[in-house]
Amino acid sequence: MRPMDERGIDGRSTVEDMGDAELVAALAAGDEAAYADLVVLLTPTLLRLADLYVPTRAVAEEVVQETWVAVVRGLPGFEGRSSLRTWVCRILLNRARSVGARERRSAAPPGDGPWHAPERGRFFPIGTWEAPPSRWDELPEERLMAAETIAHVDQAIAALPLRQRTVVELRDRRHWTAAEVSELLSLSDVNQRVLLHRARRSVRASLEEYLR
Amino acid sequence: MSAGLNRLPGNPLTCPELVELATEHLEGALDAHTDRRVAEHLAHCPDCPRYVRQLLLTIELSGRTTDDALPEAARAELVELFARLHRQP
Repeated sequence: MRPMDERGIDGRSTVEDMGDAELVAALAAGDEAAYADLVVLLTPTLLRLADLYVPTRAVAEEVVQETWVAVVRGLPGFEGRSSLRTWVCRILLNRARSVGARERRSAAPPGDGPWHAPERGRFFPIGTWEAPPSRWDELPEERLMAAETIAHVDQAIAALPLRQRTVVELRDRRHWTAAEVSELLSLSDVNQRVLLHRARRSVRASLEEYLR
Repeated sequence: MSAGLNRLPGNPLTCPELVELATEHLEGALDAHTDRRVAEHLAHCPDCPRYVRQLLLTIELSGRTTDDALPEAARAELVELFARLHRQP
């Protein structure tokens, strides 16, 4: 196991390169380094998923803590029918849903509210661009990929409605597959794509504004 | 309709339609007929290829963002929890 400070700059850790079987064996053997890596890797995702259902960050943190207890206790029963990360996330979601239902007295999480296309008002009635996308994609690579630009994208993602934010973080930040995300969040393929597309459109529009 | 799009046979997609379909196009989720209309639009439109390019750049930049670091105290607490549970299952 690599020590934490040798983590790559993209934040990927050793457990991401381990197969599930290898990782489960390490955890079962009490490998604290493997567990620490898994916790660092998955806890932000778990908090984001918990946020979908519970009203406050403090409750989300409690649910995440309980989830890790359930993961350690339930590990001997993990059969590898889904990936380990999906299994962990599903434990979290079951808890977050029941805690959320109790706290909100409703099983349904709040929706994202009405959505307005960021490109609205930029087309001629005939269906061509009146105000076409600005040419920020032609900026030099150093500017486009600068830490400041990435920090701006991070803020733009954080400002998205929660469901869009969750989907775009899983898909475009953590590189989960469409099938994994749809299944985990009980979304149809179409709805998963709608949320992803809305998120990407908003972030693109925000970049256009930022890189003027 | 720009000159390029005007010369397309049949019923070409409009730019707002292209914008709506962009992610489905990138995900390979469109039926063959619609996907062909998207490709034709992109081959003739002066502006939409830039829009798609910018979506791809947006995806790449999103991939370079990272989750907030877990506070060291929280990480240490969870690892201690693991050690405790593992000693007394």
